[in-house]
Amino acid sequence: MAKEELSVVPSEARSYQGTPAGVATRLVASVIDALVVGGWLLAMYWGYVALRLVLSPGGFQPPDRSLLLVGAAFFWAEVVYLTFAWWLGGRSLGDRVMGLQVVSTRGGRLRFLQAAARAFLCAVFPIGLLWCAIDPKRRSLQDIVLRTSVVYNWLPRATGPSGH
Amino acid sequence: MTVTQSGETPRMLEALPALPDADVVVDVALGIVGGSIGVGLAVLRRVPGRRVLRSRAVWRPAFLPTGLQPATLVTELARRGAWQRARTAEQVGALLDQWTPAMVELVVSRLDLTNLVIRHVDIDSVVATVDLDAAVNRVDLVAVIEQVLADIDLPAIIRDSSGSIASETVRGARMTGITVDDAISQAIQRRLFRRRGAPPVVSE
Repeated sequence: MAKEELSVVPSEARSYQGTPAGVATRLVASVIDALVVGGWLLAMYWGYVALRLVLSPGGFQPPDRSLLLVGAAFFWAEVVYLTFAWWLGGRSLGDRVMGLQVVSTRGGRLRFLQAAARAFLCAVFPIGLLWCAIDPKRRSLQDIVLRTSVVYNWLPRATGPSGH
Repeated sequence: MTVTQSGETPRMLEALPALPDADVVVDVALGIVGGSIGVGLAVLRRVPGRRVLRSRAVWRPAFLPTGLQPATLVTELARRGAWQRARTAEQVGALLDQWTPAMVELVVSRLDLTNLVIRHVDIDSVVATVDLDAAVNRVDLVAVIEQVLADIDLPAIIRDSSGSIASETVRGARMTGITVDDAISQAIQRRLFRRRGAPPVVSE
């Protein structure tokens, strides 16, 4: 009898599992990641403000909110967040929501330096993601430089051997 | 059996109920055969005990050439009989091989075998003799269960019974994403490769 594999993935999406993800899904995942980092920074900012207010209610002044400082904080927070997300699980929160996984060319998870470099490049040049709409193998510029790939993976746990 | 005047019916037959002529003929023939067999058996019972039949003078009389002596003739007859018996058995076997399946099929097709078995066979006793554990051990239960779960799509049932609106939304968003990805890829690849005349590359 023809044996059908038992999977938690809906039948209509099974044929896509492990294939390179397209630009729309990855763009949505990136936006979700940016919102997560933004929310995380905002929470930290309001926590810091509340702490200052509690500690010196009389001489309270709101902290400096220059665009450069906010931009730098967002940049490094994004790099740190994506580095650890891709290194530890191959997925950021946005990837998890959209059913994606970042893998190396061998199909395993990224090494720490590879994850850090990819996070840095994504934060520096996010528009490089759009190249995957043109590339026949759906690779972004960061993927081409670092020999990585983003595939559909709807399974709850990331698959493939660990790269580290 | 006493017969009266010529052209008259025997008295015994008069005593019998009126039978068709064919039945009378069969009865007479059976009587003759039965009588003959009785006489034959009586002779066979008495003859083997006679010492004269065991004497060499009877089987190998000196005044007859060897080829005409009773012992030689009986031996030859026995040999031919054995050969004939083997040949007949072979022919009967071939006939049975040819006709038995057809006859059985003919008979069985006119019988309600299921009903017969139910009425006349103690199925519980038959089943009690079967080693069910051995039979079950020969079945790959894990494969069967996996096949059943795949056929009924258990994950889908679990998803449907326990799925929240959020997980439905996420699944819908993912499928929509995949569809949009494919649409964008195909549109761009078509536009890029139209001038080159090459077919668009499908990522999958």
